[in-house]
Amino acid sequence: MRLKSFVILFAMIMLAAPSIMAQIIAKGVIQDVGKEPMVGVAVKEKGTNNGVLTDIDGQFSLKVSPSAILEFSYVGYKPLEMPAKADMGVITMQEDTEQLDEVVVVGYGTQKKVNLSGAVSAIDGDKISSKPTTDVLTALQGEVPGLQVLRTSGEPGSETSGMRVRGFSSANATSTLVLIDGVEGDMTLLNPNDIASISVLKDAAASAIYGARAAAGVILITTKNGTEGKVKVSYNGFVGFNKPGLMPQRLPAWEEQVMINEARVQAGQNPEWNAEQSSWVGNPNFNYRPNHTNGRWDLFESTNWVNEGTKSHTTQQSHSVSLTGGKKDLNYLVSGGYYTKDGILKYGPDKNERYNLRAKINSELNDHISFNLMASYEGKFTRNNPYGAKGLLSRLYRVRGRQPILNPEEDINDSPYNGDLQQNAIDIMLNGGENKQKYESYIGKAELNIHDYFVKGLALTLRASRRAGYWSQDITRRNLEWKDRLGLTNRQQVNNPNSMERRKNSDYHDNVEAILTYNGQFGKHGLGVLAGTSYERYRKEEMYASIKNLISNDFFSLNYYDSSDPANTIVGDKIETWAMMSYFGRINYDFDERYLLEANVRYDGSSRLAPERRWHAFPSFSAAWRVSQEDFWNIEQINNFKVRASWGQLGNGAILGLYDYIPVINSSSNMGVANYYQSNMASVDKTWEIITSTNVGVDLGMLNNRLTFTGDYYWKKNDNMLAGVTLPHLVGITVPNSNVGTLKTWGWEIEIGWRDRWKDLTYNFSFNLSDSDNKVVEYSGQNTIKAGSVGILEGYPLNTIWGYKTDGYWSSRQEYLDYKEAHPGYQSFNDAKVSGGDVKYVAQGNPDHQIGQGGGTPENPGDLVCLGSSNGRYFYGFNLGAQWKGFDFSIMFQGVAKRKVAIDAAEIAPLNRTYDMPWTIHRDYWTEDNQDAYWPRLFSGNAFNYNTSDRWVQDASYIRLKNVTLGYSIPLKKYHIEQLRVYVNGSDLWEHSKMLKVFDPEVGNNPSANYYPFFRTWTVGLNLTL
Amino acid sequence: MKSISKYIIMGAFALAVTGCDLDMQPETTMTDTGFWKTETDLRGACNRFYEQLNGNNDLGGGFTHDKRSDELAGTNGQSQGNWTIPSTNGAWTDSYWRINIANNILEKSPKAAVPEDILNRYQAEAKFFRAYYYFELTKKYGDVPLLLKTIDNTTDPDLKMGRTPREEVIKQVYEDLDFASQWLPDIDNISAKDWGQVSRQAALAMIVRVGLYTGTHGKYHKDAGCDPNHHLTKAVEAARNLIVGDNKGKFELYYDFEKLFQDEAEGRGNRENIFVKVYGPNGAATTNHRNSRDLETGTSLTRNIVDLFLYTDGLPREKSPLAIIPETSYDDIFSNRDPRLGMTIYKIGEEAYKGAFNPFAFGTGYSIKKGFS
Repeated sequence: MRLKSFVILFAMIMLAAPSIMAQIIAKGVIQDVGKEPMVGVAVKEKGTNNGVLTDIDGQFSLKVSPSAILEFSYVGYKPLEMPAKADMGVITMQEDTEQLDEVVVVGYGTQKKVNLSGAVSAIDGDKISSKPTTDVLTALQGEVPGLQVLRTSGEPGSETSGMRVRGFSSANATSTLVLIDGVEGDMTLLNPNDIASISVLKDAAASAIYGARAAAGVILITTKNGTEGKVKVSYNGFVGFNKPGLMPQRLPAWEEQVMINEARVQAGQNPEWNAEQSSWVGNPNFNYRPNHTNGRWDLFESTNWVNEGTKSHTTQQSHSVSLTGGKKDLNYLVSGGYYTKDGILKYGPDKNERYNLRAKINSELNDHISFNLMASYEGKFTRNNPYGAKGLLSRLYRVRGRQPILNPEEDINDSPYNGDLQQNAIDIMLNGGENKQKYESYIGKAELNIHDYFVKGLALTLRASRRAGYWSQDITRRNLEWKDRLGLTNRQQVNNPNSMERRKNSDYHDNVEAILTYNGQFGKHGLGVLAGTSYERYRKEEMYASIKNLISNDFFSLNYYDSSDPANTIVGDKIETWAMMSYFGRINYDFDERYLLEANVRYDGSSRLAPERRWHAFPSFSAAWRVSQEDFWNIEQINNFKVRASWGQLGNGAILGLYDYIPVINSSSNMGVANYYQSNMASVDKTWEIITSTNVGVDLGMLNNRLTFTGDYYWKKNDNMLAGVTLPHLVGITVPNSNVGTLKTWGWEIEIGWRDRWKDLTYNFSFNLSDSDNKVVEYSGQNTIKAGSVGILEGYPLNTIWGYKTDGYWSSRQEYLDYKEAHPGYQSFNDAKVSGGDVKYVAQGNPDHQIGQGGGTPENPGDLVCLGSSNGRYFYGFNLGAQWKGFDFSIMFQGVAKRKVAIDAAEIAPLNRTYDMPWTIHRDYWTEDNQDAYWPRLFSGNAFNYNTSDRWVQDASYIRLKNVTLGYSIPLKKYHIEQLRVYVNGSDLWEHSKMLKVFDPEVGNNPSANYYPFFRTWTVGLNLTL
Repeated sequence: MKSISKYIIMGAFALAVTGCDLDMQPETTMTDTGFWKTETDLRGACNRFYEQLNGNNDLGGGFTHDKRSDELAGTNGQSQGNWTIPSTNGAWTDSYWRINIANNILEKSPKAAVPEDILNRYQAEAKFFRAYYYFELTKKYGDVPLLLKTIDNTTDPDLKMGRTPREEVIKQVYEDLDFASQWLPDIDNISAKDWGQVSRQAALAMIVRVGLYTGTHGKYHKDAGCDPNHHLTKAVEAARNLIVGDNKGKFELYYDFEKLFQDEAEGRGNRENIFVKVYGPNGAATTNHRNSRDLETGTSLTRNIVDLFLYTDGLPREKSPLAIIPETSYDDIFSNRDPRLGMTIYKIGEEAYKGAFNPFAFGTGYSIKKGFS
């Protein structure tokens, strides 16, 4: 009996598992079309978890059942399926040239890249996080054609002042909408390692779904989601050293003294110090003596204040950890980051830190419902000197080199710091007080998605989010006095009386959205429909108190000050609110994925406008034709050819106030009696600026998509720009702006990319170039020009620079007088004193008049000529990247081909005011023996040689080595290490420009002498994934 | 599950269909709709006039008005004859700003919940100042646009209004001042704290001034449409009211002409004051003027006005035997002269701004003593 059952059992096992018994070992070699073995291709038995990866020779060996089907898959290649055999021989995999599945994030959804009919640039998140930069906005520079990042300075916390997409959309303020996972936020506070992808929506078709806030472009940032599978921990960190880049250098004190004396002599005055006194400045053995006439010290040391007050290098570091894992229907991601960077001032409070924390949970509750939750925290903490870095740098540049930092030892005053001629910047840094700022924002978002419920392809998304921010600022200003030698009078003082300020605000921004989408395929027709509604509300409450004359110079509190004098107390509050309601929709239609049509519309209503003017619809239409999908297309080299066009209207409301349509009462007081009046007319007619924009573009993919090309040409018109209105003064009140201006902008972008592999080396190269120009067609008749920068001028682009034409230097006064005799009526600036070494100003027209601005209009510009514009033209960037075995290398150059920057006379004229100390570049000044000099003769007290002219307007075009990275992935496979990469990176290492070598070519227009320099950075970093 | 989904979808549509509230009001700034409710609001609105009142008419402060004539020496293009006409001028713009404030009060004050006589009292104050500034405008520009309402949008056709004839403007001025003289408080009912506010007597005095100016201007410049007698009669009636009529005894000359222009003559105690611009002491957070500094740095009298002073026999310089002609000394102008001349300008050796006075030490004309402190 037992034997019988055993035999039956054995037979059953035998029958049931012929596969086990007769398992085969499938072997083969996988190659690509170039006959190269492919490493790491996944070979899997279909329907099971049985799989293996090909080894370094492309070979695989897998035990499978005889009837198994093997699946071969590798990123970028078309997947293959074949029945298993013992000897599979050579299997060739084809590259996936269509990139059929590449998906791009667009407004309220995603779309396949091949089906896009609008102009959207997509950047992978790894590209951003692989650049060890301060923040996301800085990392975007040069990556996207048409996106210009506005850098201000190297000051930590204020490196950028915003961005511009496709040039100027208005002469007034514009604001690019930045949405992080659909919630409006600040890009610079984001942890770059959290980003999965960034989409820049550039034309009307792509961004019209954001309606009234989309005129300046929309940036959609998507953060990484959790992945299913085992828990993955990853760490990304770097440590960097920054060196200040271009900045003016000061002269040794004795050289400075020589120039000071010379400048005064040239101006017809006596030298400041005679030869004997001047020699003391260079003498290291004789540094001071008491002055018995004026009760001060005579000081003639030699100090380079800028070197004493600034650091030669600063550091920055960033650490970011993320944890992700989950199952198929529940995954999570938790990440945290920390970033800090020091500033350039040597002493005093200096902290700039950013903390990030994020948690995301995605869950599929069942086949139809999914639920996502996200909570994140961003904190930014800064501490610096309330005098301001710019102010301190100004002091460091302006105090004479012969002034020492400390008073002589015999000095009787309490404070050892020397404040004889200027406020002592070192003392202010150390003891001047503190400015503490704290900003923390908490974001919470919940999203519910119900899909394929009633109808397949129909989905409903409900989303609610709140961003709550808390900002506080505490400024304490200590009173500092520097007395003379006898201790009787204050030579200089700062913060007199001492003061303190506290400012706090809290705000919240709520957003509730409901979106219904349908996607269906009917034979060759594809249809996508989206309809949605959203409501946003914002409220900020702020309070501040500022007091003067505190009792103690060391203990700062609002409780201890002289409150008897009402002038010592200022208190105030401010509440800001706004709300916005929107309805939006989109229809996508495609036929055979060859003819693509899209229409968007958004109907926005805002609380900022009067009820009769507050709603507006913003439509857009776009179409695309994938020529390469046509039957007649037979150019094999070009595998993707798409032409597209779009038209739409977008709104700009960045300049609108919160309650412009409500008449507001101002108050004032006279002799202690309050009075109330209305000083501004309420603007009931104000509405959004509407920008109509049109775009045509072409996308090309060639040679199996190894070579890609994208080109766009666009033009936009803002024809109800808010501009001032000139009314008769009969109106008796300040008149608000009205929508009566017009601005035209046009431009183009191209992007070329190449990627290929050769044996073990994969490399890619990309180049982007863009340009944008504009013209103010109408702006309330504004037509005033002056020497220098002119912001708005009818008939010209924004931000033109006007100045005089010059022709070298006069060689002597006689030459000038001879010229005047030959051209009667001609008179240059500072006529009575013009002599050798002064700029020859060229008159426009006949030289028979005094050089000047004439009528100050473009019709009557006098001798002014338009010298260019300070908007940049022709922005470009090129990237080269290569990966070989475990090494990766990338290098990026970025530049601007045409730009002019005007420098105000007060900033570069040495010794114009008695405290404008010269720099090393000023050494080459004109003298009788040095007539070939770059700089005119020194002249104290008058900057007539430095009027805005073609001599001083700088060519700020540049090319810059923006980024270079070399990394190595260490193939360490133990300790659960999945990836371990170390890298070194250099940022802003080199640039070439024709600008004076004291300013960075990216400096804004009208830079000041004491601008905070940009940094060159070297970092060492580590990416670790477990 | 199905019911929950149903509720969610209903909620979504409810959100879609109802427009949420988009009306936001400022919470830390006063709005016009929240104002104009009580008497304090009206008082606060009218207080603006006093802050805006220039201490010297012609809206230039200091001696700008007098410099328009040949009374004062100074670099004034108008009296020197080389005035370049600017594209905008404060005398025009500022006047219309203040007229707008007056029009605004007149339009909005009926909203306040106050009894009619209080309402009229504040409307009278607004009308006084409207009349005051229209008078200023006609003095300088002649025919000016007569705007009696506020403009609240940029396309109002009234902005293109032409110039209204001077007579019509002055007619409106009289109307406003007549109303003011009825409804403004009596000067004796204005408390010391409120001193400086206009009174019904101030309105009457203003009528005197307007009538006298317009009448004499019309008579001697032969202004079209002007009946000088009408204006001069109005002036006479108002003056009679002030001196011997209802207001008899309320005003009299101050005891000392020189001290009349110093600090001690401030307030109601000086019965010569009818309508004054109030200043505060030095250093305090108050309004002050710099007339003294102006006198020191160059405003001075011309010979023209010195010659106008009469002699003790009541005769002018051309007729009086007391006049010393030719003069051999600077001080000759003072002998047997109206004592007020000696109170107006300095004699040699008198303690002046920064030391003893000598001719030409300060400015090019006769250095002014009147009002200097």
